[in-house]
Amino acid sequence: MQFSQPVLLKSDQRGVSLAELLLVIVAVVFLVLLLGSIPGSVNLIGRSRQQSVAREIIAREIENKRSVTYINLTPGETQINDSRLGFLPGGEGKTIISDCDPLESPAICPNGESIKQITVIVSWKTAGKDTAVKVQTLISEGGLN
Amino acid sequence: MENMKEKGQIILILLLVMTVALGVGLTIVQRSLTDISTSTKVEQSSRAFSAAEAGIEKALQGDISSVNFPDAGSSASINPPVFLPELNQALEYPPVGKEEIAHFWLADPGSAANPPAAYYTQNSIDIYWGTPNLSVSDQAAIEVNVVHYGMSGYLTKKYFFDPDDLRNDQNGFTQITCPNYTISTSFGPNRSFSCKATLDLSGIGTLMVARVRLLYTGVSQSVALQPLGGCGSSCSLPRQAKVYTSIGTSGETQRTIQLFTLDKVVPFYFDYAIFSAGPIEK
Repeated sequence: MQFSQPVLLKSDQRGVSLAELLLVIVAVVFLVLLLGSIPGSVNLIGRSRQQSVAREIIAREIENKRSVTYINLTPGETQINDSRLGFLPGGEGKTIISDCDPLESPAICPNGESIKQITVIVSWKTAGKDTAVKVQTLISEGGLN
Repeated sequence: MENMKEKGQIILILLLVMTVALGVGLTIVQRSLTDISTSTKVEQSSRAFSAAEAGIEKALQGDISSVNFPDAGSSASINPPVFLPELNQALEYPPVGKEEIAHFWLADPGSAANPPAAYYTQNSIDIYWGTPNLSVSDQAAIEVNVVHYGMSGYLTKKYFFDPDDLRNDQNGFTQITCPNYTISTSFGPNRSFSCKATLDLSGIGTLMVARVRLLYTGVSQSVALQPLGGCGSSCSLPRQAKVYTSIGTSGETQRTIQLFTLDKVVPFYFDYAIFSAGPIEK
């Protein structure tokens, strides 16, 4: 009678298990997605800085207009001359001063008050797209300035 | 018998790398979202502020209808102006700086007569000033110049008060203590001031104006004039100030501007001018 002898097994198998493979695939996909979103995020940070610069240019321009006497606020369009426009790619700025029009709807000055409307626009190009920030306010004769 | 001698740390290393990359990536993404959110809100705030200013400009022209800027995405609503002070109410001035003068009417500023008709006729009046709990070096002395009209024409009487003992020795001002006071004023209840003095107005002519200047301080501090008596208009300050409120809105952001105005204020150099019936020769 022969009995089966215990077999000495040496586990000398090389290779990658299925679980490890799946884990690596998940990790690689995850890293690719994460790294792919980083450039977009960095662009957003740049865009927010550009918005801040545009906003500061506009605020200064409005204060400059408020310091001018009312009679010297000539209706029309003028270009903004601010060195910070250089921080905006293709940056441009303009100020539009318009007399109050009682016939305009909705009327800013229905009773013909001495008020002028100031519109300040700063525009620039971001990734080939045109971006602009626009702020409007009023300046009256004998008002805040 | 199985001899399993499996060695390796690749999974641990992989997990470590993933964790670090996740941390870095999430930080960058979060920073960018926060930045863009903040800059958008600040931009809206700027638009709302400009709209609120536009509302104030319209209100100063007598028009309190709302303002709309559809192109800029902003608008402003304007509250009807509030006339101050009320009967027997203390009139508080916004913080007065070193070179500024707070001007209070004691006669009726709307009077067409010359001199203006009398309004406040009591023999004394309280003046409050100073921000509580300031350092000694920032506590202000006060100069009050009361202009009155009598038989000789327009005259002035000046009052000087100083809470600082050391300065009193040199400037000769009336010494007072400043234990802090809380009163109701035109700006609302529970308004706090550090000092108070009572001006004796007896024996002088028809009261016209009181002009108040803070001395020895570089910190802007509030000033209030409290009429005494509680008897009606002759115990009250005339209505002389208007407060305009404009609320600008852009997106989810609101900015509110309040403007305190006084009509018919004497120019600041009034207190430094020399008036003479004849030519002045040097």
